[in-house]
Amino acid sequence: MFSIFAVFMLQFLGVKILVGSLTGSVLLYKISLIDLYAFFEVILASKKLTMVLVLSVLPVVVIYLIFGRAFCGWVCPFDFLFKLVDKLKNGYARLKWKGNGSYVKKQNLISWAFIISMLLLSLALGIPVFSRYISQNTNLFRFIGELINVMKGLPVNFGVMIFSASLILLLLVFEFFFPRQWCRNFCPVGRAYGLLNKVSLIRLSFENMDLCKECFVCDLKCYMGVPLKEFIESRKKGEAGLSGKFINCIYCGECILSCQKVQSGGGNIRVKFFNAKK
Amino acid sequence: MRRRNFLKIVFYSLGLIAFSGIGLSFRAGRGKNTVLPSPLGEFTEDGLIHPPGAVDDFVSKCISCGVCGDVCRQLGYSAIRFTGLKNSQSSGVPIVDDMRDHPCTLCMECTKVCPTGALIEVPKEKVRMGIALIDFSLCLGWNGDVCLSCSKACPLGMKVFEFYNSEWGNQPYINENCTGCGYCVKFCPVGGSAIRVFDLNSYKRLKDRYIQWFKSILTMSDDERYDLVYTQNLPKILERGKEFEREYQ
Repeated sequence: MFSIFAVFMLQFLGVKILVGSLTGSVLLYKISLIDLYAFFEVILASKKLTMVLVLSVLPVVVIYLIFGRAFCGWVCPFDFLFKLVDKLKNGYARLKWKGNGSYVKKQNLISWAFIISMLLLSLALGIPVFSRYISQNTNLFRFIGELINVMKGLPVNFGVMIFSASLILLLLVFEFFFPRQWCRNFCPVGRAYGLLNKVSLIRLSFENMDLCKECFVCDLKCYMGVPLKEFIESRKKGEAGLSGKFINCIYCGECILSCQKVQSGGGNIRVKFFNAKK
Repeated sequence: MRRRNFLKIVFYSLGLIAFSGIGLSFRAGRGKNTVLPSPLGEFTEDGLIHPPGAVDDFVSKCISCGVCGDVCRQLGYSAIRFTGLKNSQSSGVPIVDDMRDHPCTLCMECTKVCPTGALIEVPKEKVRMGIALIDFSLCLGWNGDVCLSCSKACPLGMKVFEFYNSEWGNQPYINENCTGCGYCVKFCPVGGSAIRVFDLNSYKRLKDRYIQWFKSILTMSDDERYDLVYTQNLPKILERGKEFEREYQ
């Protein structure tokens, strides 16, 4: 989970594999990469679609067309930071994630309202509001950049540094009082990748239905509010309503691990490649 | 239960710190602690100078990802920094502000890596980051001396510099071919530099006044000029030299 963040950190030691931040970066000084949500926001803010933008969003889209919203679970450093806060609060294992299942629809409404209002704000003000001001990744990397400036004795803009640090701190405090509400309901970056979940090659699948004892530990363990309970129930009834492609699923693997712990013989939930029928 | 309460208090206070931090960051600007006013202090226009190749709608395209700044730092130039929140619309965008220490080398690497197309690659000569203006009251070349530091440092050289040679010095003048990279600012031997780079919008506003000043000095009679140089300008230059004790490499 830490590996990509570590590659980003290597740039400060002089290893220039990935330079930049998770909002926008450049790979080996050749391939530009830009966050999918930032791409939409820039288009709306500048009201232009340029070749540079498309070229830099293309590799990202290709990657996440395969892996879906795996960005959140495997790349985003805030997943790790939030896990630390959760652990501090209550012991990670015992934390109850409120709002699984029936709350999902309401959550969806909130998050869509937030994402659309952010996009409209960008359109109205003509600046990419979220990516530039609020985005946790931008702020984290901006803070680290200023920190490097301090270490190297270069002039530092303390205004930016304080702002970025306090916004990250604010998110951590928010995480303490409302666990995972940011990731689930607000973060538009994750939402944008979640859209790709619907068409990505990777998906959740439910296998060996007879073995499932309906303990729903997987549902308890899921901190992103994926309606795993409904998913399993519908599968057991033989319905094909839920396809295993949830906009909130970040493929962190908590459900798979928990199921493996409960079931001695492997577990029921798998992450499957390609759109196999089951 | 005590641990929980303790944690709650800790996080409440952290939240307070964060809020106050955001409030504080609005106040902390990009103020520079110079003892004396910057050259051309009477021109108060203060715009932002973006990295080379910035497109017209730079502000709407920049997502503050920081690639340009990181690349610039890794190449060892460290010219690019980011604005604070004081600049409402253009906060968090890259600027080249400290030209006395870190001017832009026009290597154009930042334009190659910008993922949003906010910076686009242009030939060196066509870069218009801003325009450097010489403070005639501080410049040695305008005050009875021959100093070619700025024109020697300039990456474009004679395309940019015009000289009005007379007995009052070589009198350099920077024309509108200037890219605004700021190399002349760095290599000016006058304490605190006699050159300042303005962005193009500011330049449009102050252009008339500046050219008027330029012409008034050129058309001055010798007595007036003597008075100006020896009683006003040279003491000013000496004073600045004392205040800005800088090491030049």
